[in-house]
Amino acid sequence: MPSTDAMQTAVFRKPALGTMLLALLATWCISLLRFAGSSDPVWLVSEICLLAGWCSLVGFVLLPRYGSEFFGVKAPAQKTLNAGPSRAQLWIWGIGCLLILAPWISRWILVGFFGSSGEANELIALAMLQMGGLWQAAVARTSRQEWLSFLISCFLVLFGLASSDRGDMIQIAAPFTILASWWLMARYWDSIEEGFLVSESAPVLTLRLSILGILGLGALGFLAWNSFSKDAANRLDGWMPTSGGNRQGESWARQGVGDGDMLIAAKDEAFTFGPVDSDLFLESEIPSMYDLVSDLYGETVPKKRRYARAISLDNQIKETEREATESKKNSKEFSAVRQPKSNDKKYEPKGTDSRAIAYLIGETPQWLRVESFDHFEDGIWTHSEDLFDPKTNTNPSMITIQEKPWMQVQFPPTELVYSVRERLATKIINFQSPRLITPSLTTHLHIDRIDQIDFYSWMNDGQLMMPNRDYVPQLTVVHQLYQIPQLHALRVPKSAYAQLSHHQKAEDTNATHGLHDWIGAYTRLVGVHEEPSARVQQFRDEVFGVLASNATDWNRVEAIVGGLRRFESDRDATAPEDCADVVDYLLETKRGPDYLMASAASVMIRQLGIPCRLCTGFFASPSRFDRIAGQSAIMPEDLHTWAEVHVHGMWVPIEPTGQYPQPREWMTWQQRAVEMAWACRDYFRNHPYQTLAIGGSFGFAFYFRQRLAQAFLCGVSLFSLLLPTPLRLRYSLRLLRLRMWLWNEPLPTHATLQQWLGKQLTERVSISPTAARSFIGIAQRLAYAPVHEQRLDPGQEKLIGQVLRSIIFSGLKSAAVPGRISPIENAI
Amino acid sequence: MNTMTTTEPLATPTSGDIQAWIGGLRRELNNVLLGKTQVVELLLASLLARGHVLFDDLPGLGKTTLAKGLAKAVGGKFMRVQCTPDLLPSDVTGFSILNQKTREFEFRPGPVFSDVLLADEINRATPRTQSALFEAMAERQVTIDGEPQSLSPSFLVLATQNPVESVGAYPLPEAQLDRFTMKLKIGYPDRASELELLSRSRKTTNDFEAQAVLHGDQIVQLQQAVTGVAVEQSVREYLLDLAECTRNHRSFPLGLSPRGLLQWQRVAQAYAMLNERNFVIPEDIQAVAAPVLSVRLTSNSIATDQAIESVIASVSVPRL
Repeated sequence: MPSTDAMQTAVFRKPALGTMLLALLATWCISLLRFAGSSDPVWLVSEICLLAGWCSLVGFVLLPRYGSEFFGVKAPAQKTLNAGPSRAQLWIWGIGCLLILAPWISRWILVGFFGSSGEANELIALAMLQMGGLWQAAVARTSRQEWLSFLISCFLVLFGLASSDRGDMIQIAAPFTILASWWLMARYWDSIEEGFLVSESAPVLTLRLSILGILGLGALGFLAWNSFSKDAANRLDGWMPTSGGNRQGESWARQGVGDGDMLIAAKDEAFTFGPVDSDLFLESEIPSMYDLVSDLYGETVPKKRRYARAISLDNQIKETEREATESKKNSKEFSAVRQPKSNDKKYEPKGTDSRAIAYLIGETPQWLRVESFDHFEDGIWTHSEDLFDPKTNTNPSMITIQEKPWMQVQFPPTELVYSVRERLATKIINFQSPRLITPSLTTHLHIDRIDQIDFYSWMNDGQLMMPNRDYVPQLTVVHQLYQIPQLHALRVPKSAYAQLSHHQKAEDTNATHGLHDWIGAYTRLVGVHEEPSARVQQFRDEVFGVLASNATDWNRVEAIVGGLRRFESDRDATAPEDCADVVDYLLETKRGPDYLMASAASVMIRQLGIPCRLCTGFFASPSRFDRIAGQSAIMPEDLHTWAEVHVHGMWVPIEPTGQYPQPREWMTWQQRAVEMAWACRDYFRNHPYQTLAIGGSFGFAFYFRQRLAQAFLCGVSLFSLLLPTPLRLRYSLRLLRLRMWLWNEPLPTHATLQQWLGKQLTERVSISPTAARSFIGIAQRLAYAPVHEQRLDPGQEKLIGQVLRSIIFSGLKSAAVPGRISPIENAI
Repeated sequence: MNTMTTTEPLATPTSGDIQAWIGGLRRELNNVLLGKTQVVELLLASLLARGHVLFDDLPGLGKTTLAKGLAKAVGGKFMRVQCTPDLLPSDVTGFSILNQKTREFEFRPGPVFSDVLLADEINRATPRTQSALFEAMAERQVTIDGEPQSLSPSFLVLATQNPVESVGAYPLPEAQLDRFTMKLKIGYPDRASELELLSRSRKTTNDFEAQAVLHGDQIVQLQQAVTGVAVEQSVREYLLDLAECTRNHRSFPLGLSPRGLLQWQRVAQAYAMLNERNFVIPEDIQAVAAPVLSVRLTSNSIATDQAIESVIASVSVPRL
């Protein structure tokens, strides 16, 4: 019969690094899920804190088992299965429970004290499971614990794969699968090997029974609760992934773990296309674009000259007024000169509790265009009837993507500029307009069960609309694919995409016929014929001053936008009614509402010969993201005006109002690296003294790295003076070991305290051999003697204090020749 | 018969007594064998651990002298057996002979009925004779004519063997090697010691003889005191790790047996007591590793000492 010692050696195994690697990969998967499911970046802080906590646990529990000399932590004593848990094990279990609960606690703190919106219940539950798996992997000492960690990891990865269609999830799953196969094979061979030695037959029946018992009790409790409260079952909403809904294959429902039932029912059901027989909607007042613009920007200033003319032509007054009103209501013009708002009147719909204009499911921020204006005169923007782009918008066709009919709206002309495509969906709630709300770079559009192309049409400004309807039906969900522009090539001077202006080509008589037609269609979009005013010229000189001589057109556009973004954004700073030139007015006051900024940007860009136009629509802000529903609300006050530049066949949004973020652009990681390098170069050029200081500091720190680290560790050692003597001795010796490691003289695994410390104390710290011998004797007593033998007399405490102070304050002289410590040397 | 067969409970010596007794013994042995303090320490450790010692070294290095010195110093009965191929088991254990006067068989005890038995050149005895020592070494008793006979409680076998002459020799089987606690090599003395040796022998024709500094009860008391030396959990685990390493080491076809492990721990306890400690530290384990392991482990590739060194180098010492 094997001895007890031999048996416990056989029963407990060293934890496998493979198990931890699998748990870390699963953690990565869950991190991606949390990243996709959380609008609040605090999840990252929480994740980092959790991983740091876990790493600490690994450091103090796991590394000593592999003979790490770095931490020098004593491995917890191994116990037989029927022995009670040691204090170290209780600590480990306590830390484990804390780690598992940490996601929930951190959300509670963030929500309660920092005003964060927090994460969804499912994500918190997943994070807790993830921490459980990590913890098990770190402290696993039996194969059953490793199996538990392995199963948790597998579940998490499978869950991540099932509930997300991210490409990087598959990239993680592939190595996970390989590693998991390897892990299983290793377990199999281990089980064969161990089968001949000792049977690892821990009494797990109790464990299983207890788990079943807990689950059963939980189920009984829930049933009891449900019998008393009819609402109890609904409390589980949001706790189960893909809860609710009758379409399990719906990708939106899978991603938006939340109120799936309502989301799907209100999203794609066909009855929402017809007139809704619901009091809720029939009785509500649905605003038009005109209402919203008037509410938010103030009323248009009437033109006096037209009114003056009306005096003599009495019959035409009403007609003109009526036409003007109709024109305004149909949004044929947009005045940049508006009356200040009289009060803070906000649109309040009746019959519904939602003020939202629409909902957006997809990436935010998003610039959703409703109208565009291409002609600017006397402070009024209008759209021309004949400016419909014949090249990019002709021949739309219906294609099938994922077995659904999609209309291809426009063709990205160059793969270089337009290579990345994303998807969003908008749901109209309270908006009375036949126009569809789309991003500028929409290429494909889909409404459920609409497979006829004549269902769509274009407004004369190129905006998509639903013909023969007063407005798009409420709750219509419009799925769209749109491009993320890749603008890097526009900034390269020698690139074929460097030139955006067309006035030179228009004058080129050798231009091809088609190009000539195309340029002709856009003649009114450019304003080269207008002479820039003195103030505009001054502004241009100012913002173009930092540009290189070979700057591209896009560089100039960005310079103008950058200059305007420095202005103060103020919606109440409207132009005066008698203002002749709103651009000059804005450049003078350097503050104004977004439509003045956009007007100024458009006018100045057009004066460069670059086609540009004004857009009104909605800005979908990330701050309105509802994490439970997985969608962002678009409110009436999100009405926004910006500009679009014509870039090689498509209209790219620009944002001249500093209050709003810049539109997203796509960059490869190489481009990002180059951009960062150029930004660093610019910083270094503009801040030479700071650069020198930073470089000098780094050089100094690198050259004196060992001394700095030693000084830091000495400082840390000072805190040990506050500890009781045994603890102080223990931590001082660990720090001494760490300091020696920094001197590139790590403690060999086989070296005993006497062999190593005697050498260090006499050679490095200059302590007399007698004192060193006494000190080592005390240290050995504290390390290896029974507890009742560890009491120290005052003389010994004094000696320890003296030696430890010498260790802390000594500079650790470098030994002349670091000698090899023989394993069987009988030192001292 | 001058054997130490006391059965009365012994008074517990104080730590001062223990160190005084050990000091005297150490002084005497160091006088007998000059310049070999470490060998003397290990021999003392083996004595305190109730372990038998096999001296494995060249002729003339002081093996017999040391054994005789030890027997003298502990004040016990010393017997010597010169092992040859014609040595019979009864020559070692004793035999019964018919007394012509009384017409009864009388038992004539053999050399094992002593306190210190020196088995010189043990590998020259036949396996049959070697195995006669098995029971005596392991259980401190012999069975003659079906009657078990107890030996002295402090019975100690000091055997010698010459590693260079293999003709007409019978290598000790593993079973017997495992009954020895350690194998000691004495080696050549250093120059100063040899000078002292020459100086000492110049004045006298007799060998230097040790004085008896202890008696049998005191040896037993020391051996009992060794069991009170503490071995903490971490040190025991270190010992287990080392033992496990010998079992998995590619140089050793056979790993350390549990009996060897127990003896290793006991010798380490004794070594700690020799160093005036009442607890074992990893240095003790390491210091006695080579003699304890080399007697029972044989490397099939590199030198045994080298293999033992690699075992120790590959196992982490428990840290503070």
